[in-house]
Amino acid sequence: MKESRRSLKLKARRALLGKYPAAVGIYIVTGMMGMFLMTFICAGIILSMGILFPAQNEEMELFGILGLFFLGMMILTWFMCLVIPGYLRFYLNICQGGQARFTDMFWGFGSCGGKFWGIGLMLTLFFALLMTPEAVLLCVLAVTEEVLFPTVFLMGYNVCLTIAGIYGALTYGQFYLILADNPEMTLYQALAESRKLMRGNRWRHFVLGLSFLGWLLIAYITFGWAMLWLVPYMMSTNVYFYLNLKELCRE
Amino acid sequence: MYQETNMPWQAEPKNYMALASMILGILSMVTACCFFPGLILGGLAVFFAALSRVDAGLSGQGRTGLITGIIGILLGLVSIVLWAFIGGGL
Repeated sequence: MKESRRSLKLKARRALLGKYPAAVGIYIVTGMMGMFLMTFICAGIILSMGILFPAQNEEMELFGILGLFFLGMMILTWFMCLVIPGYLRFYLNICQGGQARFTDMFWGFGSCGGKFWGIGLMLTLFFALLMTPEAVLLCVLAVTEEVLFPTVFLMGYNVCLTIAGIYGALTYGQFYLILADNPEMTLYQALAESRKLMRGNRWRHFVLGLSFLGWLLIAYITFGWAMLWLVPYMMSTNVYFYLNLKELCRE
Repeated sequence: MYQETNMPWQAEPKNYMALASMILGILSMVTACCFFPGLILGGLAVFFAALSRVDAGLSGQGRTGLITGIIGILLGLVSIVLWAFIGGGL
């Protein structure tokens, strides 16, 4: 039976009772690791500028910054691709009545013979491929006088990317949860499974996501502090949604 | 009471969110005069009150937290406007 949003959220709130310290802790540690990596990358870019581009060539310098930033973002994406499975595993454990262990967070780094390293790399290269036209156009914008065409193209490309991204997230968005739940599955099996599970449930998932808008507004009033509790709540609700999809598929 | 199921008995985790909400709500009202603490603590009180609802309705503490949190947010907004006027007048 399809569970209502209200029921999924109630279940999530119940499951999180007494587990907020671990959930908030894991969120802070992940965020800090991401921030540390980002700072490291930015510092690396700034420090390497003088060594890599000693000549006072502004265009070369700009290309260099863009290239290094692109590389930095790829490293960050890869890192996030490795953290996400552990993060999801943690919430799967909470929602299935298991033990919420802080060490679950690093599950993606060591499990399945480094499978998630390969998946992370593939996803990183995929995102890099999607962002390449933008990077090229930014370089074009930097060296030519022509502004209108690249700007219009960039805007159009971003709109298309957003629409495709929303559709992709609604269709294949469960694949990481599927992988965290069934580590023996391959990436393609997980993608196919996600597509199967989401058939007829995309709109439901979309509305579930929208139902957190009010919560986000309250979180903004607190200058983001409430995000520490909102993210675990959203994650648990999404995990319950996935568990409901699995149940529906079995029926 | 005799339990009919074969499930091992587990203690229901205590709901501290309602208590946290009440404390933060009261603190938000107290600190509302000094700009942002009223907003931040009031927002958190409302947030925790909503998260504390795991049964049919809000508990007494949760309801207190919600009401005091909303009052704290409103007082915080009023204090920001007043301070802006005072600052503008100087």
